[in-house]
Amino acid sequence: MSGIEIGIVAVVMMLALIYFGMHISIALMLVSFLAISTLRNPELATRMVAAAANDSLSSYLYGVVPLFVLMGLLVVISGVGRDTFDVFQWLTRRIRGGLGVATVGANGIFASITGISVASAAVFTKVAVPEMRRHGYTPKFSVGVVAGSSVLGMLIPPSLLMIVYGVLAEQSVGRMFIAGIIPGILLAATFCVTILLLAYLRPGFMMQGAAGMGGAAAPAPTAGEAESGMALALKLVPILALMALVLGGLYSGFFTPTEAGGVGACGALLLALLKRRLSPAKFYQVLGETGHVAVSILFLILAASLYSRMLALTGLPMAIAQWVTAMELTAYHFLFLYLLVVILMGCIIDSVSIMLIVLPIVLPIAQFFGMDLIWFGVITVVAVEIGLITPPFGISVYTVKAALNDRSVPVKEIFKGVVPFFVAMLVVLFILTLFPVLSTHLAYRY
Amino acid sequence: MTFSFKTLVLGRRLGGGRHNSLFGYLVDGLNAVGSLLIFSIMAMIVVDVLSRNLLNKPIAGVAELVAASIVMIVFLQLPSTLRHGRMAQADIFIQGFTERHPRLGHGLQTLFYLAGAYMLMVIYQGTLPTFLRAWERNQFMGVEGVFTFPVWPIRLVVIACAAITLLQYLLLAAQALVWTVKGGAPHAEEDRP
Repeated sequence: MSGIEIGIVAVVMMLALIYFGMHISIALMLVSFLAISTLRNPELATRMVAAAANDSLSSYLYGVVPLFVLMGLLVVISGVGRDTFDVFQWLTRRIRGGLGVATVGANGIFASITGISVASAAVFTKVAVPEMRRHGYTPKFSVGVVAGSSVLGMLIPPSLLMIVYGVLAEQSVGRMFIAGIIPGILLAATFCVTILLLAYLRPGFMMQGAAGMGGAAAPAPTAGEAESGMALALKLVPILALMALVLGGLYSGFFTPTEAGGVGACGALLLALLKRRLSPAKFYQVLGETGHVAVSILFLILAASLYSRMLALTGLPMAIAQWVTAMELTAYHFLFLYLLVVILMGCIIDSVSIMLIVLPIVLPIAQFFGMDLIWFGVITVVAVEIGLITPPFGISVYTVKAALNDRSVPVKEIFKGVVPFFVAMLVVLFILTLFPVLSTHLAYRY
Repeated sequence: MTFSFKTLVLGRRLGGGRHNSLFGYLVDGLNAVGSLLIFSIMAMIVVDVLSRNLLNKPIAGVAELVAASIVMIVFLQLPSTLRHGRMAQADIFIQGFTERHPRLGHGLQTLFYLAGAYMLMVIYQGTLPTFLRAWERNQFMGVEGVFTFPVWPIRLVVIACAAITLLQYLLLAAQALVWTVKGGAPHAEEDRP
């Protein structure tokens, strides 16, 4: 068998093993090990596995993963999610569908201090859904908004997916973060427009009973309205301070991404301590949880580094690039196929794994077409994130379901509620693909 | 407090992810060390940033120590991540399949766990020579005269924790094998020691 044939067999076998439920990192390693053994010899394969295990993660840069995860979890504990929501609830109190917009806005701000969508989904299910239900929004819409807007968490910096992309594509992680700002705001704005359109065009989807749509006034004065604007503004201060610290430090070049993660985690720790939300036992739990999240991702990265070396040995990526030229595909054909494949894979496996599996194959092609890798990263992240809310494996949806813990709202109902946001994401993906400048404008000033 | 042989080896879930086997304590202990390392990375970086900007004195070796810590954190917490079922996995097929065909499903999972054990064995075998080399030749990393740190403790953590993760995979495989033979996982804890 030629190298290319071995490469194809390896990729197909790996996809099959992952689909059938083998641990993704183990599937990547096993297939790479077998392929290298066949191509060369088992001794070399063993040495390459050991090299991947010992050296691939031995870089200062990988410190960002546990540090941003720690920061995200501490922010969740400190309860600033509720504060943000209170502020936005007050701001949007006179708008029809205001609570939906408030959820998106609060999620957007929250996203700028956490890098994991799952955290946003869990927090806002507890904070926003009960409030929306109380104001007569349908359960479907309430959970849909939360699950849909939670994807902002991984687009607006800091973002775990941007870190993984930056590492794989050898792009500056700081630059990837900055590149996500405009697309993140665009996505949040598109979500808000979607909600406002729903409020006027399909009120039945959003509100329970037509009577509830009588006016813009809320049925009862809420805690948020009783407070003054000033008190609410004060609630935002710690969040904005943390945001300024991390993003400002990154953007000014004052911190490297790893340092921004360390300082951000420390800031979040102080915030949680000041708000008296952190007992030693809880902090220990948070650290353990950080380890589990970070290690499963880092171990995947470790396995994927072996996998990409194996692919390079087989020569498959270059063969595909040549094949693509021979087919006379244009860049847009390729992009269309690529994004379609990524979105479909999102139905089966988690976001980080998709990027680790697909990118070693497509990055050479993207480079071959002369695409800007920062822009390519942004659209990849958006496409991968669509997978967070598509059935059957929409992790955000399941997080909402688990956090809600309410049997009267089945998973199917949540997936239905997410549909408008799925459409909005497709629209944003289309816009971002057509106008690379949206992603690159800020990034290259950094 | 008494341990039956079974709980000693496999650990018995007490709810909330707690368990009481000796091996479980070992795994959780390693996890705690890893957690401590995460915290110390954060502390090192913050101190470095402060000292560099306020006192104009950068601390030598922070970057190297962080880089080395990441490898150790991954291997220290790998057994626990595996034990608590947190390894990334697509359960779209296996979950439903195991419910419909308990024997086949658990049989398949046994094979998958064995594959995991095999890969950890490869890591162990591949790293053992580099550990021995680092130990015998007293290799160090960093810049001589500025900051040096021996390499062997890092390699030792990797091989020791790879071995423990290997053991954890074998335990999971044994458990899945028992369920394959019995034709399904017990829904409630059936025996008390």
